[in-house]
Amino acid sequence: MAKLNDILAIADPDGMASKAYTDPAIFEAEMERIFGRAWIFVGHESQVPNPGNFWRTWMGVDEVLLVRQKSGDLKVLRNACTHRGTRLCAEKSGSTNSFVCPYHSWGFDLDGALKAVPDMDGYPVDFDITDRKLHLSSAPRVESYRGFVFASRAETGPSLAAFLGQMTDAIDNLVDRAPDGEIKIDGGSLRVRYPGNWKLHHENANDIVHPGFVHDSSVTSAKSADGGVVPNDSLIDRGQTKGMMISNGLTPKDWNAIELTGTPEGHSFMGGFYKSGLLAHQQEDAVTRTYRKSLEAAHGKEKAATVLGMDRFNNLIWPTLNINAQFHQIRVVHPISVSETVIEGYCFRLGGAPDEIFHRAVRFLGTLVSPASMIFSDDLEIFGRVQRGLKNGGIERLNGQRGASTDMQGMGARHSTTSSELPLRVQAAAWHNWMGVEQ
Amino acid sequence: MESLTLHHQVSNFLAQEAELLDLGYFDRWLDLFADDGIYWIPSAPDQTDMEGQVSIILEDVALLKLRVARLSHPRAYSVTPSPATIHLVSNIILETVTDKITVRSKLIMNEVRDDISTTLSGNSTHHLIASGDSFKILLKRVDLIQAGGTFNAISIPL
Ligand code: FES
Ligand SMILES: [Fe+2]
Repeated sequence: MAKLNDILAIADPDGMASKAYTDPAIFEAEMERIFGRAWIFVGHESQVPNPGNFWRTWMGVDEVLLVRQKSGDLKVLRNACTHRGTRLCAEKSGSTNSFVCPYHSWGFDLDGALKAVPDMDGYPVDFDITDRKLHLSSAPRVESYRGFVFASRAETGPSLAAFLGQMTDAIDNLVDRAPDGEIKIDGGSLRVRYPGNWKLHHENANDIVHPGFVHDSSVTSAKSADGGVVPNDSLIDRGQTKGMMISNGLTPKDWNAIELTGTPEGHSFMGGFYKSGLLAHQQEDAVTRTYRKSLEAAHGKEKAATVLGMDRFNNLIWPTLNINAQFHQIRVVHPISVSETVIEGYCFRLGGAPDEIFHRAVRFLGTLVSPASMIFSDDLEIFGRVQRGLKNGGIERLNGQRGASTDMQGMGARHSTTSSELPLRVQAAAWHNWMGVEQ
Repeated sequence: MESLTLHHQVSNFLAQEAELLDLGYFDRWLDLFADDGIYWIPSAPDQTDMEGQVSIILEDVALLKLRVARLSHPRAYSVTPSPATIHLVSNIILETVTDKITVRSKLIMNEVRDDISTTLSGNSTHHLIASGDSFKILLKRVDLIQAGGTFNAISIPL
């Protein structure tokens, strides 16, 4: 295991040591100190609406089950039998009364308690089925913020509210976009893998210098195609995909105008960068007009305008969740190993909104996170190249200084309008905070 | 006898299509689609819903033009260096033959890039319509057996 002093030297506000991306021992320490303690996004309540519903996911590299209890509460159980360690549940989701191990049929209750062991007579008298050590290990803290469920493996530590800090406004904004106040994960999901460290995704999310270079191929192709971004350009998505591609082609000056915010908890968000077509928040067509009207009926005109007017793109809740509230999407990041990461993308159906609004979110998800995305596939390629470059060992420390002298402090966060690398610096600081403290 | 001739023509068409993809002639591949043709790779097995369920790719010709243009861009990083592929098409079955021809086939695509080899496999369904002495694609649907799982970036059309 990496030593504390070594670890602390890794995070420098001006750039992380490359070891943090390549050294398996550091990865192991991250799983323990960050993913074993911080609030990890484990799912949305709509994925487990009824008692007995479960959803299989990960906390760090550990597979867990998010389970709706008979009482309506939520529990997060480790997906491993306490008898000999067998993986309990192989389904991704479902509904059950209990979890029965395929190996020797130990049965566990929805809350993880061991309730049945076949042929108990064979056990000595001191074998106690109620012994907590025989229960499925359950995350000591599970909390939901407006339907977004987070779990922590630490008994104590910052509350979910303290951990989220001002990022609750991204969740609020997404939920408040539903006229009837309910949002639901729907429309399937996409799962993508890249050969690089998990931090590379987060460091890229609010990096607004890269789009002009990495996405040049999709910008140029979209620009050169016949016609501009006109509403019924393409039968399938009425110009949305093309709009998303073209939007990465802002001038450096326009990128600079996009505000970046980084919070002390390591979270960050960027202002919106869709300036044309229906993706731009001021634009309306018949569908969005109907939707706006129903939101106004629910919230009143003023609040509806505030909700719809929040123009942001990536809202990164470090270290596991990215929210695109405006487009009703999330991405969930799962570290697999020091050099392998899985990203899952989901979209939401907003209760009370027209079906077409949901269909647009579905389209958006495909363009944004599909393994075949004309945009994202280039990001994934770059993550792999960074990983390969760092593995060469020639780079001791990455550079994250851009904007360091012009960042502004205000309202409990750092801000920039210079395409700053401040999201990197707040992530490095959060990394340092979690990693620097031993259990 | 007649259906064997048609089977032969359709097989030939599918082989030509695969060849264009392997040679990197993406513009000519796109020309095989009818003006209102659709290319679809669903995200889940047995997916029937195009609008309410996300797809890996769901594109009409207007969008495919962008995809194809990007593939020949000098800085399309995910295809630089460009991969070598083999699209192997087999087990071709003519399902229905009216004015539209429905063909089912098996696809194995092996891609090698930068010394890394990837294989994707699926069941293809083509809806074809006669056009001159050949066909045009009204729908090409590829149901990957990996659908629902985890993918590395996919760049070359299947
Ligand atoms: S390992 Fe689960 S019952 Fe034996
Ligand atoms: Fe990007």
